[in-house]
Amino acid sequence: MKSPIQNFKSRLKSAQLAVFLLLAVACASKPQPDQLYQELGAQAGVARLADALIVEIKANPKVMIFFQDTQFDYFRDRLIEDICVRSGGPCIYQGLSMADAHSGMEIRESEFNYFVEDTQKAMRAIGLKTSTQNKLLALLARERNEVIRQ
Amino acid sequence: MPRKFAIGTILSFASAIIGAASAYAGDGKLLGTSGLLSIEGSAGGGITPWAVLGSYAEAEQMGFSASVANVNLRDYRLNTGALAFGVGNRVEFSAANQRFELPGNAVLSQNIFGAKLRVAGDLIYGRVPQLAITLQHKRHQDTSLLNALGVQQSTGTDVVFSVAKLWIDGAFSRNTLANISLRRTSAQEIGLLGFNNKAEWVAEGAIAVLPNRYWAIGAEFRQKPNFAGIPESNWRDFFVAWFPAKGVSAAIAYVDLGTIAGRKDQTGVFFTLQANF
Repeated sequence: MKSPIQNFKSRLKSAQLAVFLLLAVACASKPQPDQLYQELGAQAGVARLADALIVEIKANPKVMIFFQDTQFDYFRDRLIEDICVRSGGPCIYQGLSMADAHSGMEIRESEFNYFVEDTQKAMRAIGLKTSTQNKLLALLARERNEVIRQ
Repeated sequence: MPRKFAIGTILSFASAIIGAASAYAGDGKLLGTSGLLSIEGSAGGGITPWAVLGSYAEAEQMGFSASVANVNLRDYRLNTGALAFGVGNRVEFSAANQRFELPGNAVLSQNIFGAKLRVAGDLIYGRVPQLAITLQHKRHQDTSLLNALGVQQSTGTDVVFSVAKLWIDGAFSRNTLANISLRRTSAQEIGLLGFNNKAEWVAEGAIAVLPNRYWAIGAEFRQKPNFAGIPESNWRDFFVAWFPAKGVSAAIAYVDLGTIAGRKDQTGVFFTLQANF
């Protein structure tokens, strides 16, 4: 009779195999460098997303407190550039670094998440696919350390 | 009181309480990332605790979760009620009551007091996954049936070391969560059948994929100890969880708990309903 450890090991092996197969399928097609940018709808799509996000920010007091002094025309241009660059599009980001842009704001972990939720709402509002939404959110998540507690 | 009216009244009271409470609630975590309160009270999945912390409290916030769960097996039934208090996405205190109904109207009941500490990392952000240590102190209310079954120990404490990670752009570009835990336990059938003089290490795991923000589908595995003369089956389940809003969540699962106290094929349905405020 198999010991519980052996039993668990054999289960673990089949679980590992399943995970490996999943990854193999997921990695089978190597994405183009600008794939996300194209999924977002290129320049017009990125602009639409920026506009939708600004609508959500203005409607959310928990986020809007950080935008009291913001010139939204300027913010919109930088936001479009930022999304464009991060998604692999042909743009140059002309704004401050993330750390400098959020310096002195003392943004909390919860407040970063409220902004993530606004981004989710905006992406839903313009009808992006869930997979596209997640790809962009994963990029946004990487910026967190340069945004919070600055 | 007519039943429909009663349910309507309860629901409207419940939504009023949740609505009022959510005004101050810890709501800083992203939807679904608090998991659900497990049958032992600690946040996680259904039959295993995970490194996630109950309630939606992020740093500098506090939050509560409350849940009821029912596991309906071929020969047994388990009813649980659980409360959890989350502080600052750092600590979770939980309390649960389990009522285990055996064939022939006998009932075994234990209380579980839990404390969980997030030691390092974060479920979503950064390179380090979320690491947590959970203590579960289990205590039977009435030891007479346990004593009649020849079980001496009616209390025990489990220690669980857990690591969890949620990949936003995971499998199929869906949010994908995995949790692995190691548990030191002397509990027989998670303590429902009392506690042994010895302790063993057991492993637990879970994986979930979120088709969208509001739904999760997944599976859990829970290795069980094998104390001398008391064989236990490993547990597993396949679940669907629903997070329509931060205030409320629910899950339904197919559970396979194997043989319990000599009765084979204990499969059935698990259901849980939870409120967060």
